[in-house]
Amino acid sequence: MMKRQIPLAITFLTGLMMVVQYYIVPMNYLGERMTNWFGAITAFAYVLAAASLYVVNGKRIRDRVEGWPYNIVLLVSLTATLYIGFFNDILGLGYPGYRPIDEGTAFDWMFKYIQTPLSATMFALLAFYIASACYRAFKARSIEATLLLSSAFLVMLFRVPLGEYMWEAVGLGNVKIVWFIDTFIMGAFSNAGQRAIQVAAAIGLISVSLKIILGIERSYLGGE
Amino acid sequence: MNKLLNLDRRIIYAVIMLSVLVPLWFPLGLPIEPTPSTKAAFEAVEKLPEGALLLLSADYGPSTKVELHPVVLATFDQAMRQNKKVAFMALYPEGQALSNEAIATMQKKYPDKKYGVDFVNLGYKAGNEAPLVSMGLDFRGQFPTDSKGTPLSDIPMLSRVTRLSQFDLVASYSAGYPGALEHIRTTATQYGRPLVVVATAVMTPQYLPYFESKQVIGLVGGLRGAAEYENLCGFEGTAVPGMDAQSIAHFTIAGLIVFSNLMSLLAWWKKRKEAAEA
Repeated sequence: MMKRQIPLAITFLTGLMMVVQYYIVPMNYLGERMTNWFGAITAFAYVLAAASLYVVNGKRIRDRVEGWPYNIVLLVSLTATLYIGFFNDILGLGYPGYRPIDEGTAFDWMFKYIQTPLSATMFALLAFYIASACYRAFKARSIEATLLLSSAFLVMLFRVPLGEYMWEAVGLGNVKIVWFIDTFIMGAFSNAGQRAIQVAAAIGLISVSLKIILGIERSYLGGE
Repeated sequence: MNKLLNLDRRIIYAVIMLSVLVPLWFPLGLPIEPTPSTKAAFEAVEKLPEGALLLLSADYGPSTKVELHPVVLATFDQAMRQNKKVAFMALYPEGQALSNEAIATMQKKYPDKKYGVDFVNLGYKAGNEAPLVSMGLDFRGQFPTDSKGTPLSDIPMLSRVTRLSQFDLVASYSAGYPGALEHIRTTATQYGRPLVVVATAVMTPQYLPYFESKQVIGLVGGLRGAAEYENLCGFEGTAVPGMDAQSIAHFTIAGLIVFSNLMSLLAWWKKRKEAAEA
């Protein structure tokens, strides 16, 4: 009983306090204190996340699950990064006052020459996958698909300088294609869709939050 | 025809690679007209008086650096030219290193500008939206020191700053969560600070309603917006040449889609003809 009732009571009181402090100015300090706690908890969550990575990947390596060598690569990278971040100064590479994030340190070198190019490469690869997927899947098979294809075409071709230049070059400068895209496709259809999604998401979020505060939604406690 | 319909993906990859590389080698130098949302972002910085305080939130990592970093540099350059003060913060852990990179770039261009006097890096704050909420109530509580550990009271440009409301403008360079949406909810709506959003192209439509409702006073979207901003500032960065590559890549992908649809149409027509003959 204590395992469930105490967390539920903490959730209820915390949720209630955060809502009340927002509307009652003298209680604002409570909200500030709670958000500071949240920052501290988040920092600890990084430690938990790192530990969890070791446990999950360690199990996969032990059980020789398909692709386990990649798990080794992950753990070696994680350990090396942690070591360089935490203990490099012990080796005399910057101590005292050693700050791993400073320019010119080994940690900074790893960020610049390993993480930056790797992240950029991963993101850049999307262009190739998108092109290949468009070739295979972007077909005008129905009215809806044709409408989607047409609007995507207009935005893709005429929201880039080459499209605008070509539109002018073929003597269609009087027909304001960019204005049409901005006003109707982006300003009307896309904007209205975005607003609908965001308002619906916000209402959904309020509803889920209320269910958690009132103890109706308890899946975060595990089980049930 | 089936071979063309199921074109080897390596051919598509090669075509895309060439469409990106060739314009980077031989730039087209196409004119780029600024959109009203980018102009508004530029004007928001431009009209601030000398000595104004800007808070630039680097809420992105290396994967979206190509789209967002050029605007950070252009804004930073604009501020330095006009003797405005720039403080960096980050809601992404990588944002701190990218801010340092921007500072290193500008220090070379403006050797007379001093760290702590003209610009400062406050560093990364964990907690997603929580530090933004606290910053509005007690700025020093969230950032007692800069990223080097110097107390804010010892940093000349921030020695009197205790509240977020003392910043004249906040800009979020956002790649996702946490980023612009959290700044819109707290920095702009809760604490009423003028906010400029610089977002990746895929995220821009999400922020457009906030620009229309004036909760965001300027919106720079994707590489296109970055190129527009560079042109407005007269800053020579990487976004303008990058737009040539993006232009050709868009046309290539459009061409591939048209080609595959034509092949599908021909295949459908051929199948129908064969069925009619049978």
